[in-house]
Amino acid sequence: MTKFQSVEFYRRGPGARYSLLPFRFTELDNERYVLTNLGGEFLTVPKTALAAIVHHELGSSNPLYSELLARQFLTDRPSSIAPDLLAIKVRTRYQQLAEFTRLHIFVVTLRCEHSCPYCQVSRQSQDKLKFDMSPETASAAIDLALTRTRYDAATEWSRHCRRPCQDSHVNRARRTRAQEGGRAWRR
Amino acid sequence: MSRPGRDSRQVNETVKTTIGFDTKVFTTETVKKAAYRYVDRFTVDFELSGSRLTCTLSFAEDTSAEVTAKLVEEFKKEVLDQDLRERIKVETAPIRNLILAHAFSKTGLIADDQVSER
Repeated sequence: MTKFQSVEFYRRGPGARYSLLPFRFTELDNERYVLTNLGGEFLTVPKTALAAIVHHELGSSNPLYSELLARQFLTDRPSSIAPDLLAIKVRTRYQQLAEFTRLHIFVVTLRCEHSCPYCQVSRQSQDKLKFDMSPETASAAIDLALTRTRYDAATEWSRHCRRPCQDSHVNRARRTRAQEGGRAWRR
Repeated sequence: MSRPGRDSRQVNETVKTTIGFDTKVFTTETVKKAAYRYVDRFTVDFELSGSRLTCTLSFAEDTSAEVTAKLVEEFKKEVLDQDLRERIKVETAPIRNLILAHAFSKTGLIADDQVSER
């Protein structure tokens, strides 16, 4: 006496009910589509098979069925394990969004007398005051950065024009708000 | 998609082909999405009369008949593809929202009341 049912027992016929999980597709070549989903899974399928998949006409004995099931393109289980698995993959994939960003870069001014090769900012002449960050923007930017402070977050401040900006309102705001944020974080 | 402001002389120079779709089979939105995919190769003017959606495809003057026929064929296939995409989108919308809500439920990116509504 066997402990398990035969494979046929678990197979469902061509009319088996399954639900589609969210996915996109695009043409790969004349013969195939590539399917992708939220979790980063992908699968290439013959063009002729796609309509059958979408119209729920794919039989469970088709090898493609198992592939689609394994990569969360469809689900046929009464439990929610496939959507749960997909949700876990989505959560892992977009973790950096949930924890906001690891790096904040504040470009407070474009005025600079240097030409540092690593600099990402287009250098402007000394009279380009209009590109300076306003106190309101600086305050809002610091608020945003401190809203979701990761323990490993880094903040980079533009080092342009250190002398003119050394005691600017931006730097004063930066020091004040960072101190406040630090105290709040420690609490 | 028509190009307002084009002069009539330039329009007369284009090669035109007309295709009709029944909006009971393909929605206008589906056909429009397909047209966007070919916006670099031809423009489309839409005219809806009853359930009949007439698309007038305008190609550049130097487009050969062979190329035109091929693009028309591809456009029809693209409409079919867009129809499948629409079906997938409609069928999976609730589960997609549920998965995203579940994935981000403990992150604070969505409000609690938004999660409880699902």
